[in-house]
Amino acid sequence: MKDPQLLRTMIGFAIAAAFFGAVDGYLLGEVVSSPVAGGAAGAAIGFLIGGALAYLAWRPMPQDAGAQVAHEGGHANYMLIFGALFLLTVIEVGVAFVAFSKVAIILILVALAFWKALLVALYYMHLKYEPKRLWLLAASPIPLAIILVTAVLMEGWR
Amino acid sequence: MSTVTVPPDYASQFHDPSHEDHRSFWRKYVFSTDHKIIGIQFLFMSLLFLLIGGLLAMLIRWQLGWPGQALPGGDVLGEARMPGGIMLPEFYNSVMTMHGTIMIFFAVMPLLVGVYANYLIPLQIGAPDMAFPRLNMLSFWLAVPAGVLMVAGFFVAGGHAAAGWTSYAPLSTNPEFTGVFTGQVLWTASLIILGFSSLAGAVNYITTIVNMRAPGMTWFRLPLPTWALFITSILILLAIPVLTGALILLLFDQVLGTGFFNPEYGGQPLLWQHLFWYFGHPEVYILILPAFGFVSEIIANGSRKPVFGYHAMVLAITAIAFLGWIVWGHHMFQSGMNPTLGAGFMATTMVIAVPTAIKVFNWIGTMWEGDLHFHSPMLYSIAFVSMFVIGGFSGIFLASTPVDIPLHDTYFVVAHIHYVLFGGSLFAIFAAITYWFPKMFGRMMNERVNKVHFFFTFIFFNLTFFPMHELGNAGMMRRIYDYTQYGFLEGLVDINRLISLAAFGLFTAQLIFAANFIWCLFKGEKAGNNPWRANALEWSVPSPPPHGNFTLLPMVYRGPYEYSSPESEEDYFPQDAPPAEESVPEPAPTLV
Amino acid sequence: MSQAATVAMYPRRPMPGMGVYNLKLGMWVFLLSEIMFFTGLIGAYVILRFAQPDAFTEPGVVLNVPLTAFNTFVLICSSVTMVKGFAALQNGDQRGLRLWLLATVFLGAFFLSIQAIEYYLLASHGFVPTFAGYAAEGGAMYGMTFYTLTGFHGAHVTVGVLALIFTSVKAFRGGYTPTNLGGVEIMGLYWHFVDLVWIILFTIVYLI
Repeated sequence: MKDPQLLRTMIGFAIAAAFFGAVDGYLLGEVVSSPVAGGAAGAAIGFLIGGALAYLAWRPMPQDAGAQVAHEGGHANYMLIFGALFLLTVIEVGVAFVAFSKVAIILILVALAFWKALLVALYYMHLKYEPKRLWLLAASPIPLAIILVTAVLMEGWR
Repeated sequence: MSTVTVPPDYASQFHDPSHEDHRSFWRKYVFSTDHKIIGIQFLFMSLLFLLIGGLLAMLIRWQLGWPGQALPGGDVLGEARMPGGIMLPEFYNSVMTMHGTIMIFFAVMPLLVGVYANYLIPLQIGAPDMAFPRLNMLSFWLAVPAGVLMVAGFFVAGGHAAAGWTSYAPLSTNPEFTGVFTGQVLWTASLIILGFSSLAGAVNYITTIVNMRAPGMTWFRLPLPTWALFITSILILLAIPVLTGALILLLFDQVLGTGFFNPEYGGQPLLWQHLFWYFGHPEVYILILPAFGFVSEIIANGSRKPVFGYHAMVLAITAIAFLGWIVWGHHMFQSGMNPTLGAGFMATTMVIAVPTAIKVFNWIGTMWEGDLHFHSPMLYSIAFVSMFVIGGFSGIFLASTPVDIPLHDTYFVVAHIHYVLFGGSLFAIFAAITYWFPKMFGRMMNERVNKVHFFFTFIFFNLTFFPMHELGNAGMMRRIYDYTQYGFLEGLVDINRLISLAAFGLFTAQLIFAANFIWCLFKGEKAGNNPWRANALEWSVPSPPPHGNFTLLPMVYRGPYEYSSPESEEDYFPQDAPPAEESVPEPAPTLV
Repeated sequence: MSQAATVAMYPRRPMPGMGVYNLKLGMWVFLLSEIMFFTGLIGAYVILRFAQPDAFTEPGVVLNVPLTAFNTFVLICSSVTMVKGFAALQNGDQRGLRLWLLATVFLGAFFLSIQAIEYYLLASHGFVPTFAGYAAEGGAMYGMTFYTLTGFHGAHVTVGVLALIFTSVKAFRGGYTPTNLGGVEIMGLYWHFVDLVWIILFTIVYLI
C-alpha cells in the first residue's frame, strides 16, 4: 500500500469500531440469550464499517494541499477530559446501585452529572477559553432553571 | 498612513446601495431578507389580527350587554354558533378564548416585537441589517402558518378552542369538557409554531445588538427602544421554550393518550399552571417592556429634553425583567398551590412595582419644564403613562393574596389587564406607529386625524374598562356567558350595557386610525429624513431607508437624548453628527 | 485634520461586542433557549414523579442500565471525535477533519440505533408511553415521562446527525478552511450540548 498512514488509520478505526460493535452486540445479544454471538457479530460489522469510514475520509482530496496552520488558541487535553468523563460515568452507575438513602443518591448523582456537564461545557465547548462575557451569557439560564425546579419541588414536597 | 484590513466577518464599511438591487419583486417584497420589509410584513399581518381580535371583543360585548338576545344579522354565523342570532355558550367560550389568544400572540406581541425589533434595531444601532437575515425571513414565514392554523379553528367541526387563552388542563385536554377537539389541537399546534418564530427572532435580535453596533455606539448610548427590545428578546429566548415544552405535553395529552395533566391518570393539573405561568409572567413583560422603550423615546422627543435618568431607566428595565421570573405564582393564588410559595410570590410581586414606579417618575421628570410639543405620538405616550399607572394600581391590589382571593377571575382582573395591555401596550403601539410611519413609508400620517382618533379612543377606552373594576368588586366573574343566572349579578346588566356601548364606540374609533393609515400610505404628505427632529440613527437616513441602511457605517459621538443641548444650535443633536469643533479627530479604533 | 481625511485614515468597524463572531454567538444564544426547553420538561418530570412515586421503579428494574450506560459512553466518545475534528480543522488538517467528522456521524447514528432498539425492546415488554397498553412494572406515568424526555433528546440528536452529515459533505468538498471554520465550530457546539443534556437526562431518568 502506497500510504502506510492510511493503512494505520483504517486499522485503528476498524478496531475502535469493532470494540463498540462488540460491546453493544454483547449487551443486545443478552436479550436474545446469545451474547457471545451478538458480540462477535457486532465486532465484525464494526470492524468493516470503521475501516471503510477511515478509508473514505483519509483518501487524498484537493483541499489537503492547503496550508497547515498551527492553531495558537489554548485548549485542554481532550483525552484527559474524556478520561474524567468516563470515570465519572462509572462512579455514577456504581452509586446508583449502592444502598445509600434515596436522598443521598439523588444529591450525589445530580452533583456528578453537573460536574460532567461542566467539563463538557468548559472544555469541549471551549467556554473556558472564550471571553468572560460569554460565560455570563451561558450561565444566565441556570438561576432560572434552579428557580423553576425549586418551585415545583416545593409543590411536590407537601 | 497605515492600512487596516477588515476581518471578513464584519459588514463592509462602504456600502453603495445603488448597484445592488437587482432583486425580483418576490425577493424584494415577499421573501425578503431585509429587516425593514420583514418589519412591515409583520405590521400588516398583526394589524389584520388586531382587527379580528377587536371584532371578537365586539361579540363578547354584545352577549354581555344583551345576554341571550339575538344580535341583528348574527345568524349569518350559522346554526352552530349563533342560531337565530343568539350566541351559543359554546361559541361564547370560543370567542373569548380566541379574543385573548389572538390579541396577545398575534396582535400585541408581533406589533411590539415582530415589527419594531425588526425595523428599529439595525437602524438604531447603525448596522446594515440583522446578523442572520435569512433566519429573520424564516421568523416571519413561520408566523404566517401559525396564524393560518389559529384562524382555521373557526372553520372546523366543534369550532375553535374554548378553554381560555390560558388553556388550563384538563379543561383543554378533554373534549368532553369544552365540546371542542380539533380546534383545541389547532390552537396548541399554532402556538408551538409561533414559538419557533419568536425564538428565531430573539436569537437574531440579541446577536445583532451585541455584535453589530456601529463604532462609538456603546451600550449606554443605545436608544431606549433598543435597550427595551434587547431585554425583551432575552425574556423571549428563555421563556418561550418553557411554553413550547408545556404545549407539547398538552398536545400529547390531547392526541396521544398520555396523561401529564390528567388527574385520572395520575397527572397534575397544577403542573400545567406552573409551566404556563412560568412562561406567562415573563410574557406579560414581553408585552410591556418594548412599550416602555418607545414611550421613553417619544416623550423625550416631544419634551425636547433628555430622558430623565437614562441609566436608571435601563436598570429598571433590567430589574423588571429579572424580577419577572419570580412572580409567576401570583396568577395561581387560588389554585391550591403550596401557601408558602404563595407568600413568596406576593412579596416579589410587590417589589416589582418599584422599578416600574421609577420609570413612571422618570417619564414625568422628562416632561417637567420641557418644551412640550403635543404631536400625536406624544399624546399617545402621555396617555400610556397615565393609563399604565392605573393598570399598575389595580395590579398592586391583585398582588396581595388575601385581596386576590375575592377578586381572582373577576372583572377586576379584566380591568387590570386591559388597562395595562390596551391603555398601556396598545397606546404605545399607536404612538410607535405614528412616530415611525414616516420613516417606514416616507409619508406622514395626518396629524389632525390622529388627534381625533386619540381623543375618541382615550374617552371610549376609559368608559369601557374603568367600570369593570366595579363589576369585579361586585363579584362578576370573567369568561362567563350568562351572569344573569346568578341573582346577585342580575343588577349589573345596566353597567354591562353601558360598557358594551362604549366598546362599540371604541371599535368604531379605530376605524378612523385604520382609514388614516391606509390613506396616508398612498397619499400622505411626503416626509423628509427627520420630521420629528430626533437624534437616533434611523433619522439620519432617508425615509424609507435604502437596502443596507447606511452608505457609510455611522460614527456615534454621543447618546440619543441630547435635546436642547448647549453644544448644538438646534434643539436636537443627532448621535452621528460630528462634534462642533473641527479639530476633534475621530477616535482611533481600539478594542474596548 | 479635516473630517474627510480623518475618515479616510481610520476605517470603521462595529463595536467589538461579545468578542466572538456572529455565528458562534448566535449558536450560544440558541443553546440557552434549549437549556430552558429541557428545564421545562425536567421540571415537569420532577413534579410528576413526586406526585406519584410508586409509578416509578428502582433503577434497572424496567430500564436496561448497562446498555444505556454504554450508549452514554458512545455519545461522550462522539463528543471527543467532534472536538478532535474541529482541532484538526484549526490546524489545517483536512484529512483529520473528514475522519473525525465521519466518526462523529457514525457514533451519533449508532447512539440513535441503539436507542431505537431499546425503545422496541421496552415496548415489546409493555413499557409504552400511553395508558392504553401499559403492562410493565410501575405505572403508566413512568412510560410517558421516559419516552417524552428521551424522545425529545433523541429528536435533537437526529437533527444533529443530519446537520453533521451536511457538514461532512461540505467538508469533503473542501468547504472549510482554518479561516472559515464557523460552520464546524457551531456544529460542534450543538453536538456537545446534545451530549451535555444526555449526561443529565441519563442520570435523572435511568439512575435515580
